[in-house]
Amino acid sequence: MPIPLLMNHKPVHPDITVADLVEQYPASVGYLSEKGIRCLRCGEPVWGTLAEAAKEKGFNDSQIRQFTDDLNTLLLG
Amino acid sequence: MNNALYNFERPKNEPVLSYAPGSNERVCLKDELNRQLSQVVDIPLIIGGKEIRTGKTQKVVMPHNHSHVLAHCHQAGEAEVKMAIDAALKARDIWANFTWLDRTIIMMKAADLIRKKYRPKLNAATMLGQSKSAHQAEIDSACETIDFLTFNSYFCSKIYSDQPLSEVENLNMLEYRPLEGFVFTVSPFNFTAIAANLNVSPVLMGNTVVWKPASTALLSNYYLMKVFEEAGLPAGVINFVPGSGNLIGGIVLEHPELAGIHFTGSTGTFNHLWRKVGENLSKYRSYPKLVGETGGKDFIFVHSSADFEEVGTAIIRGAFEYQGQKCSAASRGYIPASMWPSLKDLLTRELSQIKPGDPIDFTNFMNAVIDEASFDNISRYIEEAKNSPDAEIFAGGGYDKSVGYFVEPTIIKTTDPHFLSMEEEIFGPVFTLVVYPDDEYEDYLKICDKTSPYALTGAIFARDRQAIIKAHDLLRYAAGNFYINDKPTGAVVGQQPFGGARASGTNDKAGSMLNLTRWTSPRIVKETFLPSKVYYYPFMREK
Repeated sequence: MPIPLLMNHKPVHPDITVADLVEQYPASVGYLSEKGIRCLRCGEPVWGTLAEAAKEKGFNDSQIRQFTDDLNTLLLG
Repeated sequence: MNNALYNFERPKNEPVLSYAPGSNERVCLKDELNRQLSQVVDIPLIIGGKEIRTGKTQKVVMPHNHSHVLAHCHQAGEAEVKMAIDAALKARDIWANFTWLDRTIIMMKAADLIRKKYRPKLNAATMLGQSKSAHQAEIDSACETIDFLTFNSYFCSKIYSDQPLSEVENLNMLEYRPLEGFVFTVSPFNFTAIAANLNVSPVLMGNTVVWKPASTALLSNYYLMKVFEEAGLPAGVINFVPGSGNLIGGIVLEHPELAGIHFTGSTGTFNHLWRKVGENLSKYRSYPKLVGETGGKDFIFVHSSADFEEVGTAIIRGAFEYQGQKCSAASRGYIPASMWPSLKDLLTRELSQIKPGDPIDFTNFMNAVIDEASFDNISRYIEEAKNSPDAEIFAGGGYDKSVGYFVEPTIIKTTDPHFLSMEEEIFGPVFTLVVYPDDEYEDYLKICDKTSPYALTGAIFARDRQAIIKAHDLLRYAAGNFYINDKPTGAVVGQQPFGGARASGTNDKAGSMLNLTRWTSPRIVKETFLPSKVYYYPFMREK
C-alpha cells in the first residue's frame, strides 16, 4: 500500500539521517529491513546517514540511489 | 588539605527490596508513582551547573500509555553542544585536581542519597518512563546504580594504590592522570544504572563529560543528574545534554579535545562513532579511548541431561523480563529433541498466564516495549515468522499499540538454525529456538558459536559435567558473560563484570576495575636521590 508523503517533508535522499528517516517516514524502516539494512537497534535509530548505513552492509552508490528512488516512489504513491 | 590515605573496604551489593504487600517500600513507591503521574515535568539541559531551556522540546511519554505525557524535555542545539564541551573543559582543571578520595566521597554520597532519599523517585521515574515493573526498576535504578557508585569508588581506591616497585636509590610513582580532554558518554534507555556507570567511571578517574542521554529515558536520567548535583559534584563535571544523537555526535566527534567515548547502545551506532573518530584522527590531540558495549544475540543452550523446569524458568525470565530489552536477554535457544515435548508443554502453559500490562499494576510480569519504532520493528520479526515455512509461533505472537506498546511474550520454533530471528538482534520479547537431535550436541555447539556476529551473553544448561566442559570450551569466544545452569541476564556489579567481544563491544567489563583503567592516562615518575656525576661505566676502564 502506498505510504502518503507527509506535508513539508523532503524526498528521501542518501544523506538523510537514519533518525530522521525513522521519525518522518516510519514505513521506510520495513523496506530497508527487507534489504538487510536495520535502522533500529537496541531501541534507538542507528546514528549516521542512510548512505552510511547502506555502505556498512556492502551496498554501493548506485544501489543506494535505487533505494532512495524506491522509497520516494513508495512514499509518493 | 586532607592527607589521609584512605583505603575502601570491598562494599556489599545493595539488598533488593521486595515490594511485597504490606511493606513500607511498597507504600512509598506507590505514593511516588501517583505523585509523578499527576505532574508534567519541565526537563532542562544542565550545562556548567546551569539549567538551560532552549524552547525546542520533546515529549516524554509512558510506553504503556503513550497518550500520557510525563515531561517535556528541552533539546540541545549546536550552541548548547559547544557550550557543554566548553563547560567540561573548563571544569576539568578543577576536577582533575580533586584528590581521588574527594571524588569518591561525592559518589558514595550519591549512593547514599539514592539508598535513603531518592529510591522511590528514581524507581518510579524508571517504571513510568521506561515501562519497568517495580522489581525490574528496583534492581536497576536503585540497586545496580548504588552498586556502580560504591564498587567503582572501591575499584578506584585499588587502582590508585597500585604502584610500581622502587629501588633504594630511587622512587617510582605512577600518577593516574585523567585523559587530556573531555569524555563523550552516550547512554541507552534500558538501564538507568548504565547511564550512571557510563558517567561515573570516567568521572571518578578525574575526567569531565558531555552526556547524551537516550531520548526514551529522560525522566529518570534527569533525576539521576540532580542526585549527582546534590551529592556535591562541581558544575561542569557532568553536562546533561539531551538532543539528537546525530547533531550532538557531529559536533563532539569533530572536537580536537575529544579524549574518549563511553557508549552503550547498538553496534551500528558504535561503528558509526568509531568510523568518525577514524576519519577525524588527525584533528585530535590524543587518540580517543573508545569503550562500547553494544548488541547481543544471547543464547540458552540445553544439553539432554538438563532439568526442563530449570530451563523453562531461565527462558521465561531470561527472554521476557523487561520485555527482552536487556542487552543480555536470551533471544535464541538450542533444545535437545528428547526434552522438547515436556519443555514445550511447560512454556505453553506458563506463557499463557503472562500478559504485558501497566507497571502500576504490580501483578504484571511484563510491561510495554519502549516506543512505537521498537514496537513496529519487533512486530515485523513476528510477522516474518508467521509467514515463513521454516518457522512456527507456538506461544504469543500478538501485539497491540492502541494504548501502549504491548507485545506478547513470543516463542518462535524454527527448523533452520540460521533463521533470521536466530541471527539478528530484535531487542524485544521474542525468543527463537531450534530443536536438535540429542546426539548432535557438539555439532550444534559449533553452530551456536558461528551463528551470530555478537558475543555478549550465553548460558549452558546441563547436569552432565562432560557436556558442561565441552560447551565451556567450544563456546569460549561466544559470550563475554557465560552462565552455567543460570539465565544469561542479571549480571551483578562486582560479581559478574559485564561485557562481550566480537560485535558486542570492546569488552571493557562494566562493574570492574578493568573499565576504570580505560579512563586514565598514567604517567610514571622516577625520582633519583643521588644522580651519577660521571657518564662512563665501569666496563669502559682498562683496568
